[in-house]
Amino acid sequence: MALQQEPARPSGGKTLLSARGISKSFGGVHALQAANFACERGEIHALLGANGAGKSTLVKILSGVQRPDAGTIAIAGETVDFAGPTDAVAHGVATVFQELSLFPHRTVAENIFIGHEPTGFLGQISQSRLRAAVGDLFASLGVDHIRPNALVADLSLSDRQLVEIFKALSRKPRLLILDEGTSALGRKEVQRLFALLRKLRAGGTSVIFISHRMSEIREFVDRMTVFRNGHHVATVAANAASDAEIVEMMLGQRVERSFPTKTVVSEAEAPLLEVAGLAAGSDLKGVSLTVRRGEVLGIAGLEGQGQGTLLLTLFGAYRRAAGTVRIDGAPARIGTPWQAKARGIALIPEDRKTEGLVLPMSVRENITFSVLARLGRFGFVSPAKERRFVESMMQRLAVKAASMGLPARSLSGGNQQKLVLAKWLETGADVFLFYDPTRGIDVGTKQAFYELIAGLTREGKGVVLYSTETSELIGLCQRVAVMDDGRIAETLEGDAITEENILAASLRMGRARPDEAVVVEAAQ
Amino acid sequence: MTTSRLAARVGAFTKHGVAVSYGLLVVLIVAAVIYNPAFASWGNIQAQLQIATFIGVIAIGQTLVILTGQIDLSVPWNLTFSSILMATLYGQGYGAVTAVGAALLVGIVVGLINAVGVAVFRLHSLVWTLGMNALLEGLTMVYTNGQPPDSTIPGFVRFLAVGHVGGFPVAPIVWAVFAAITIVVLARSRFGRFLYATGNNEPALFLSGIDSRIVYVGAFVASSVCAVLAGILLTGYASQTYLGMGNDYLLVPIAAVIIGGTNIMGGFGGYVGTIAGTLIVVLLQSILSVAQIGQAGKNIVFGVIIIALVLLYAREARPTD
Repeated sequence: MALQQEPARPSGGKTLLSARGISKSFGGVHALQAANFACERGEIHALLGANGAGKSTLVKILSGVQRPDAGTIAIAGETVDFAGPTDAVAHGVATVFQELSLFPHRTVAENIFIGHEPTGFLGQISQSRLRAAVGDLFASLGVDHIRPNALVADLSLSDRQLVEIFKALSRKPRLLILDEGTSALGRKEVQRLFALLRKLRAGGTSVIFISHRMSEIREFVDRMTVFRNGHHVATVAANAASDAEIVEMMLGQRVERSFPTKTVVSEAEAPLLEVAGLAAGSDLKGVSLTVRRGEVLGIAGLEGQGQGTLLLTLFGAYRRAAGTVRIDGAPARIGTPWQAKARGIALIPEDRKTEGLVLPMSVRENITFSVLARLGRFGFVSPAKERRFVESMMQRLAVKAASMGLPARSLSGGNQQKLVLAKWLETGADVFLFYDPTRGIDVGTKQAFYELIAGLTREGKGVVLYSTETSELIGLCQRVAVMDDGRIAETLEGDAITEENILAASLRMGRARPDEAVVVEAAQ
Repeated sequence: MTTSRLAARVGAFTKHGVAVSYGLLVVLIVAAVIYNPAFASWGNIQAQLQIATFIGVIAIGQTLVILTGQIDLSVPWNLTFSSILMATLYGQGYGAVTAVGAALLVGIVVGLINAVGVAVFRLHSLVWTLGMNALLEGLTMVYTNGQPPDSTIPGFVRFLAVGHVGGFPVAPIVWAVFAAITIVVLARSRFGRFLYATGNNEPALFLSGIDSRIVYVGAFVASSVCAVLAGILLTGYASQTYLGMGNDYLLVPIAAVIIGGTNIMGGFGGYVGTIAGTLIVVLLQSILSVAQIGQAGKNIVFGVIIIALVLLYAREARPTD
């Protein structure tokens, strides 16, 4: 709430949406703290913020998906309290979420009017009126390249995203929210979409637009609001702040934290892990990277830019579409996690509760999954050997648990994460892949993890660390690869690893976005 | 206040499905002996254990499969087909070892196919093994021409099924041996460990670098081989094979597993409980028969017990996290 500048585009001057003092916590984590947000009638308003700033939570509250813990929302002066998403739609708020929510085996027309299909006199869905309604909608929007009778499954990803937007528009909203709703669209399509949104704006509709493409924001929006750590920071006209100023608003004051000394890695050393042109699924589009022994390679970028797919593909959990992997110079065919394990790759996955641990099973059983074959003979486990192994691992990682027989579920988040790491330490792995290992764990345990990661590098292991906390990447990594849209946008080294540079690379500031529509369709 | 405290007590008690099932077993035994002291006679105990063996052996396989979160519905015609194959081959002059070996081979192949459907094609076993059961029924009809096979039974099969050693029936000993192996494998082996992990959270096992497909292969092949063994014992017991001899051995062993406290969704339970479950279903059937309650009444009692226990066990299975 620092500087509240005059709106750049008053357009009648009447506030359509006003959210005041909105707070929302999730289990002790404050996603929004007394945040304010306002949107004028007939404006296109961008919402900006780094990971965890509270943008998505605000969108979920405005669209009725979640209820705020405190605060009031008013639409056109009338205070509202949404009981659910349908209630929000009834009040004229339509939202397009990041994840597509279409029924692939229904037609475009059926998807667009789902929930408010035109009906005949018996209450049945009237196909002729449905066709007419879609025809009217498409005519008013100037859409001619999508057939209303086509199955959604047959459309390209970008057309599906357009259908999602048409679905929201079919509700004739007063306020349209696009939460990363343009991520699959090529530049031409974005231009066409905004031509259309401008037409709606002229009719008094407001649009809240969340995107991390700075160039799009500059080009298409009227005003923007910056959020940081659950607070409203500023609302300014789209061209009233420089890139550097925006980055500063998004970052604010830094929290200083101490990190272990980085291991010195010689440039001359042969790479441990070499990846070339790795592609998989729909969101990893060609990544090349190298990791030397003793090195921590950071993976940065906004959430959902293919970082998870990268780690899971390296670990063999996803099928790769293209690319090669070499370990110590030798080509490695890694198609499954057990092949990855055999080649010395370990993964600390994103969600320790569902991917890292078997929660109802004991601490002892969870620690030994990956090394069980060594702790016995003829397919049987030696209880004594297992006990000794578990005791030594618990001591080494300082796992706090009253007994190794307790279910993993009963441990704190930090101790659970230690179990996931403990599972891998003695598998002989050389390459450790970490997916945001310190998310949701306490500060003390975070510090312990930094020491553990530094310890791995001193033993000559290679680490790939994806983290949503930029300060960790700065404190731990020799190099940081910033990902955007399934590719590495930029690799930062040494002193160039700063929050500003990482964020600027994530947002592709000052860079025009290439027209990727063709690539997207080819990947279908 | 009091009711909620009572509910908490019951809740704490039912945390151990095994305790519930053994408690129920004791109650049933006491009730049966009070109702008719002849239940405690050595002759009757032998007869009950004899019947329990068929169910208990099949329930070994079902316990393993259900622990992974799957189910094996191919038991009835797997049992029938392999038994008829064994008896027919023996009747045609092949050796007893060849005949029994052929039956076991059928079991292994059926188990492998079941496992492939679940582990490789990722189809639910409910559908896949049901299809397998229908396929085996068809194969049996083709093989026998729809006629009941005329066959003699190898001597050692008769011995395993109805023989006695020192006044003690052999069949329950066979069951006890397999039961002991099962309990040790579940508690101490790597396979047992991975079986529970698969039923609880297969992705976590997969991401630990362990090939969970092997777990399905082990469970389904074990189940299929158990069905074949039960069929062989049943053949020896009845001194004949017949079409539809496996029909009564699908739902009763599954009921035994569930009554024994194994979670139908996988991950929790074990064979110790299944033993109690097996004895409960056998004893219950016997009591109801002696009490001259017809098939309809039996079904009602079984249905009520299964529903009540599943409700009771569901209280503990509710995720707390």
